[in-house]
Amino acid sequence: MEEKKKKDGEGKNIKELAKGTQVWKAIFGDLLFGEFKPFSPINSLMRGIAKIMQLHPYNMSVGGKRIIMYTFCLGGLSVFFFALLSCTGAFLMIYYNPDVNKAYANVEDFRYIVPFGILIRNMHRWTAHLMVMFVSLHMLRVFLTGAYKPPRELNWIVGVILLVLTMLSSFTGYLLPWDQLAYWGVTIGCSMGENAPLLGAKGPFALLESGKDVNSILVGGAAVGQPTLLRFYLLHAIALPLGITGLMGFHFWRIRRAGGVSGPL
Amino acid sequence: MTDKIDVKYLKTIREKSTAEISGSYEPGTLLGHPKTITRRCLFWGAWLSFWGLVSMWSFSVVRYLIPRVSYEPSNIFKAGKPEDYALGSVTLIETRKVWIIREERGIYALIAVCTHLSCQPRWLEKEQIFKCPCHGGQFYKNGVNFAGPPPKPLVRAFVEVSDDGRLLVDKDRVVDIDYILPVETG
Amino acid sequence: MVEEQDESKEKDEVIVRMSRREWEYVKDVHITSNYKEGFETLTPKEQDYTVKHLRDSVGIEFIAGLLFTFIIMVWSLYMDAPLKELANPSDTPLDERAPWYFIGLQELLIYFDPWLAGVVIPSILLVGLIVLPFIDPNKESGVGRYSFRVRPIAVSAFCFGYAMWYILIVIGQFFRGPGRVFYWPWEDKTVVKVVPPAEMVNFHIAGGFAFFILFFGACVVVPKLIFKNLYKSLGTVRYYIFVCLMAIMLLIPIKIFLRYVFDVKYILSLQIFNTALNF
Ligand code: HEM
Ligand code: FES
Repeated sequence: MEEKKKKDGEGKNIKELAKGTQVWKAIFGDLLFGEFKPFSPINSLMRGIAKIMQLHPYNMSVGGKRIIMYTFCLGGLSVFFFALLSCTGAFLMIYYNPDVNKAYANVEDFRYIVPFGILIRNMHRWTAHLMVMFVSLHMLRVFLTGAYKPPRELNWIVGVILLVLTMLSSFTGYLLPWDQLAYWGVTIGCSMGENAPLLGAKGPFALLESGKDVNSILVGGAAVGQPTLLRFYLLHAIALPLGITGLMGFHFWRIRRAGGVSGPL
Repeated sequence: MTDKIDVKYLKTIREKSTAEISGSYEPGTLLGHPKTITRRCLFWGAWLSFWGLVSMWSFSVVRYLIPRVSYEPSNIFKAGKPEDYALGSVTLIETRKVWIIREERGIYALIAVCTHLSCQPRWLEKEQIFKCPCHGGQFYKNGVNFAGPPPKPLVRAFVEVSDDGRLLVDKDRVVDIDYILPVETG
Repeated sequence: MVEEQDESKEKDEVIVRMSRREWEYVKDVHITSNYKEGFETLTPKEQDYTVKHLRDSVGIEFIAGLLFTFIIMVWSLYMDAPLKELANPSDTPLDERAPWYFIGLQELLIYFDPWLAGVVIPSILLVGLIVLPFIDPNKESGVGRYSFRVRPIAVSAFCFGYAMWYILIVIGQFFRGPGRVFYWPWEDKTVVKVVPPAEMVNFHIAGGFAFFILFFGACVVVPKLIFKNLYKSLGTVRYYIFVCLMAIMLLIPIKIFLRYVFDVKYILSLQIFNTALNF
């Protein structure tokens, strides 16, 4: 491989060399910019939009039974769980305040006062568990079917980021009830950031002092407290869902651009 | 990429710099001139300033997220008179997360935060050790770690007797493992 | 777009008439099918499949969604989400645990220092996952089906890591009681078990260096000898990345083994600029 690169490399500049690598093709390759040949302005616009949004049923000669035995609906169910979490989460937001003096009482209210509050809360919690589990199983299935190979590498990377964001969502949600489990779980979790090499106050070769290190970006102070609750709430209810939604859209768009799910065609 | 440069135009806009040029203009003559701005140069300048702006803004966002002031209980506080602590006792001041320990030789203060992952260890009276519930770290009474994952002894804070005769604890001032505030007994 | 069944032709041909503009659209978006300019013939079989995709694939995902809505509803009716007492910053509960998907990491904390278990190992894991498509030399085969025989090394390496992650979770979730002490499932986790702290030893510093040099050396050399084609198909750079990632993954069970069998606290304990680097 090295030799071949050297041979090809003669008379080429770095950019052209970079364009030949798999990483470049995975990100900027045919799937993103290929196949676009504008025809007439309106037509090309329509086609462009339809194509980018993938607004059409596409041919895929896959029987139903085989879909079940191939994807096991794992990705589809992850999307479904995400939708369910968004709905139940929005309902929970109605009665929940991210305030250390109120949060716990609010969550208790779901059980004793809010009509059907406990149902919504339980659904939110259990669906979150299921989503984390199904996303990781989905990753396993993608690996086992070799679906990360060209031209789907970028989708795999987007998937890894989605997995991390899913776990972070779940983790930030863990603090919100403000009970003992949440408080100490998050204390331990955030102390890991404090132990990061160089950037954490307690880690090896610490450059930053306590209260000013990476960890305090999350915690907002020296110990878990009101700033932490507010930050986690904003991450959990706004930032992470937005990020996940955007990346999911990109994920599906890439699947369609790759000609659908890799599969027993 | 040698752009054709209109000499007349250049002369009008940059009288000083074009003073050196005389005779007919060869394309590319001005490219080496220190005051000539080529398109490529402009392009890179634009890119650089764009990324400069982006990185400056990112830096400010990251800095914005790290609070300058935290509205937590002060790290310097008074903790009663030395006589309030019985000989051999280990007293937890809950709101400040500090143990005040009275020994034969005097008084010292240990910060009640495990050096492993910040849980709060418990004082076990019977075994005379601190034990952390999270991962089973154990410390002697003087704060030295002897079992489990904690990598360091418990942090010892500075204590002194203030003017009014009460103890003054400063959690921000870390002292050596053998620091003890002598207290006259009797 | 007019679709008509032309009786005069053979039964299995369908003619789809469309305007030029529609044709441009269809030609472009239906990449997988082979339309011909102006007209296209599809056998009923193919047509069936086109319908089947919507009906079967999306339909089945829809049914699966319904099924899980039902499961989640019943689950939520019968089991309440946990809620302990109000957070108390000055009292750590005895059975503190992370959410289950991070329990694997919490488990590692028992064996490694926090900067390794909490920061470095997860980062390496993520980097490994991200570079995975690029270090797999096998670009074409084994796509679109479950196949072990086509790519045995890739599948076993990935499954090893994946299984380790879940085994650690199971141990942390079901075999740990108060104080992260090991409990068998039949032992009562409400009873606090007192375990005398084991006398733990460190490797001598020379031994630690020797261990790591030998270990990484072996990890670089042995795969070359066993799998003759591996080095050739991967190429130098990808081979070393792959081998290093595998070696780091293997170190985790090795450390756990050393901890339980020989009471080893750290394999290598370094002191650099006042900072303890313990591995
Ligand atoms: C929030 C999390 C995720 C959602 C909602 C999601 C959703 C989906 C869906 C609906 C599909 C269609 C095929 C199927 O159902 O299996 C898919 C395919 C795919 N996913 Fe994900 N996914 C997620 C996370 C991941 C992760 C963690 C990875 C890998 C690290 C990944 C990599 C892929 C790849 C490579 C494909 C294409 C598979 C193929 O063509 O066979 N995704 N995803
Ligand atoms: S936090 Fe104390 S032993 Fe881990």
